[in-house]
Amino acid sequence: MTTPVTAVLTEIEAGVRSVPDLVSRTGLAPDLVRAVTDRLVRAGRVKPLVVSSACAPTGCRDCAASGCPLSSVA
Amino acid sequence: MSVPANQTLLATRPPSVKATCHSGGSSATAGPEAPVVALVGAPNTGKSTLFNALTGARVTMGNWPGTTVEVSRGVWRSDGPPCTCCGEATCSCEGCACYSGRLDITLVDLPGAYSLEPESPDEALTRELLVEGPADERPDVCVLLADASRLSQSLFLAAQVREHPTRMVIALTMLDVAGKQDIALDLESLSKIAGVPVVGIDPRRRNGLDDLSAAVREALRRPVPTPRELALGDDEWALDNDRFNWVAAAVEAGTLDPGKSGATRSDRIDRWLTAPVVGPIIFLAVMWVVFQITTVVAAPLQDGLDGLVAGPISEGASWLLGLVGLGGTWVEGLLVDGLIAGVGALLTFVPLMALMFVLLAVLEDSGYMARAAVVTDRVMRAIGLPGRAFIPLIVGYGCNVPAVSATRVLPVAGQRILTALLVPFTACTARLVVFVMVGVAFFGPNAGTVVFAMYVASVLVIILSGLVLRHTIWRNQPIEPLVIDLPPYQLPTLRLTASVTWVRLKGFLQTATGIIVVTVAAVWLLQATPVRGDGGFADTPVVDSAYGVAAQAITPVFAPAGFAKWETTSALVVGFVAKEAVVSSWAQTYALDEPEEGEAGALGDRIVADFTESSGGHPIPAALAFLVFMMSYTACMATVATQWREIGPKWTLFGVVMQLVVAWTLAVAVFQIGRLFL
Repeated sequence: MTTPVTAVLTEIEAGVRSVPDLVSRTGLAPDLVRAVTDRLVRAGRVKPLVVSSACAPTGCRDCAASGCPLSSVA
Repeated sequence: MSVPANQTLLATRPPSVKATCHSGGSSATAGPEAPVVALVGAPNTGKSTLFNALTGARVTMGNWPGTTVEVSRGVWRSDGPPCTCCGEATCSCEGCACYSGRLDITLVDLPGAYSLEPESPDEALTRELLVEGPADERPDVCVLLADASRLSQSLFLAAQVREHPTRMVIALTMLDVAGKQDIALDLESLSKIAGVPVVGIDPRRRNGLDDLSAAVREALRRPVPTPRELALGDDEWALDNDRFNWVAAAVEAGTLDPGKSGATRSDRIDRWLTAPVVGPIIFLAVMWVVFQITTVVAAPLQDGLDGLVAGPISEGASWLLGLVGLGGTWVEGLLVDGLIAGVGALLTFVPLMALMFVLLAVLEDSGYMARAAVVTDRVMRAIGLPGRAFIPLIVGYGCNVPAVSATRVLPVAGQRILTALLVPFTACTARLVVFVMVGVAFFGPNAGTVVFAMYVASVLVIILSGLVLRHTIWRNQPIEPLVIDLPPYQLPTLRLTASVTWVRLKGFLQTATGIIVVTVAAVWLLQATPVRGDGGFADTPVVDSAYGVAAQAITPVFAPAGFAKWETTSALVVGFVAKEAVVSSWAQTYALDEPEEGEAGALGDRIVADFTESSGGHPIPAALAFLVFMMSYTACMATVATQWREIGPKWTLFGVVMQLVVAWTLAVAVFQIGRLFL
């Protein structure tokens, strides 16, 4: 019997970071790997990293333009 | 974090579906004897659209009693084949449960839920009403909406529902989206493996609603199914493994063609862009192209602006001051040789900064930066940094101040301190200005390559410093399990690119201009204050001023690095306060000294001449050593202040000393080795 969650989690803990790499390493279908990673993120076992496109969803704190105390950019 | 099944996020146990729907007095229910059907599914699967299509205006919306969760209830009035007992269109047989003919059903649109292990009050209510409580109080049928284009994710909830004695019909939506991805499904096979009826519907176009009605009626006629058997092991994830095995079996049986969901165009591109060897090479190539475009395209624009500032603007200001009798005074010195020269020197870099910001915005908006995160993550793990450290380090290449603040995203204190100590080694945009100015002066058309090399060098310094720190001070740091979201590639939009570029450019200019005005005034004051010699205030040679004397005192330290001239040292001291002011103060320093006869007046020429002299005829290694020192030594005072706040004074002072030692050591090594060859 396969253990999809265990297999994906093992690869993530070994350092595999993206869904395509997980698909390649586990041999599971891409749709299933995405479902399993969603489940692991919801369970708090894996953290998601979203590299923001343009402005960060957290606001200007992570923007390369802001943060300098002398800057008036929010 | 999931809530265990025996706990709830609800303050009190709410009344059941049957109790609420059959309590009477509402036009939005079909009466106390009518069957109750609940719509269940993840958000954005079309539940509300289906609910509206089935109920029309016969709805009521409001908080479920005893909760703050909004739930819609309505009457689903449907027609079916005549009753098989009496043959009437509306069954009138006493006690008949044929569910034929005209049938009114109370429909309940439960809150969206990804799982029956709730993480919000909405999901907790869905669980409570669907599977908790007495069986005869639960909905008679659950219609689970599943997204056909994301079948595995959608069917996880179905797997959970099948663990309970609950009648279920799976309604597949988004079939048009699945069709565009060339996904072909076999609903009959899917139904056979899942053990429940499966129908395809399009609530927006009201397609498949008759099939849904027939499936629900059929489910009502049948007894409540027994829960599916679970095949559990000893694994911590045994139950979820079993659920996903069930999902995988259902999807495999029900999929004739996985279409593009098997390997999208983005996936095919990512095989190369995130490959272990090719990925980093492509990343470096992309960064090299960015720097080349930035320096080559911006160069003629910079020359034009430089001529404008040094020419008409400075001459115009001097003329105006002459008109009011201030020509040749300290006021002209401060305004023309100080402020205009200083601020003007920065403005010449606006085209370069704008180009760089445009290119970075394009890379981000296209989705490539996420791939860069995957590529750099491998390196970061090698030095014991978590993948999320990518964010502060990338931000650091813009400005070190928010980058140090951004280390708060790291969950472990040791990781935060380690990352905050490495951030100053990222070459911020203020340093880029110095890199380009020195690069153009010494390397001409190869300036872009040299600047690129500095960024590669900064990455190497980060890696080596991180490795040393990791194996000495921070052993045994846990590595956080992380998944990096790879969005589909898309063409960057002009509007978003322009907007992001403007925000960043404006931020840089506002920051830099403010700093430069203050610093130029301070430098001018120090240069105007005599410490030795016979000169008076604002009338003393710079070499005899407070500024010059202080710089000369520390200049011998840089003799082994080949750039031991007090004018250069003074620029580094100013850079210790704010990197944005390095070029301006350099220009200001040289502008106050009359060029000697036969020597060039331009800043770059003066710097080349000084480096040639201080290095004993080896200006190229000296310039490289200077660039390496500029790249590695302590970031601005604002960064130091932010580090003080985030990681405390002890680690901040450790970082300052570490950076100075690393910078001086590398600069000396570069010069001493370089002068053997160049």
